[in-house]
Amino acid sequence: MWDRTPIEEAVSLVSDIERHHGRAMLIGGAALFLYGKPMRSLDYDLWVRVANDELVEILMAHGFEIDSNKPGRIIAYFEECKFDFFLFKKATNYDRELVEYDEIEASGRIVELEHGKLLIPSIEDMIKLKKLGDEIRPKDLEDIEYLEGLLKAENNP
Amino acid sequence: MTLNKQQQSTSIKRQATRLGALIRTARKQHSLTQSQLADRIGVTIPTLRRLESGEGSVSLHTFLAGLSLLNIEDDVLHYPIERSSRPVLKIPSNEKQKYASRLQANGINSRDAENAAWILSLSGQQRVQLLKNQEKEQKLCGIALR
Repeated sequence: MWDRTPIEEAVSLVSDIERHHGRAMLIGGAALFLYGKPMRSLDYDLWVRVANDELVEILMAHGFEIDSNKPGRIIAYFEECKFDFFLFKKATNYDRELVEYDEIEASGRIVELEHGKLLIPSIEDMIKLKKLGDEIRPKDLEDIEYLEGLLKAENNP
Repeated sequence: MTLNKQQQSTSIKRQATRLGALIRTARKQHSLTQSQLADRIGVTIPTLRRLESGEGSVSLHTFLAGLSLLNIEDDVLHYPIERSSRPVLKIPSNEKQKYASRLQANGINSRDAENAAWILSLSGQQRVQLLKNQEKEQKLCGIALR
């Protein structure tokens, strides 16, 4: 049994990153769950703005096992759960849209918790983020369709 | 609270080390050697080493040139003050069915629409609690996590 489940660990990490004057937002499947789509895996994606060395220090303190540490991306494991940390500041997705941390943070949504809060991107930005990377996976397309449906429902009540 | 000289010096040293580490990390992320970055800023390698280690003093101009070249000025100099305060989408719990129909009308299949309407009727705290419960259940049942 876990002392702390992956989502609790993610919340605690975000809070520690902020204590180190860094910034973090939850993206990927867990953020999609918070927009109503059940998760199919326990992988977590976090987009962070903190120095690589500091993030490594925080992860070690949390008992994470670092699997890979490359410029702009750290993959670490919390027990069997994979945590992907993205450290880039901005990127262009395959629709040639600029995806920049500061802008996405500014239009993000807050999830209030008992102790603290989590930031997730807006629905529009979740769609932009889903289009990052070299290839479009069927799962990403399905998620994009869901988010687009949600967005339409929001815009056309 | 006023810091005494000793505390001030320790604080400056800590901040200089932190800023130096940020510059070193950003340089590596740009795949630049110390020599290449020193050349672009227009300083010697020992000066760049002092900047990255946070030891000794370097000119403000050198420091700012380093930040600018590595595109980390905003991160170091301006902590964003305008952060989102907008809450995540939540629908009234008595409108779940209506919302599910609206999602279906916008192309979401019926199962996803019903799941979504139910999850979106919960508070953020309740959604996270739901996720926690699912994770505990998956762990207990030994469900493959990957």
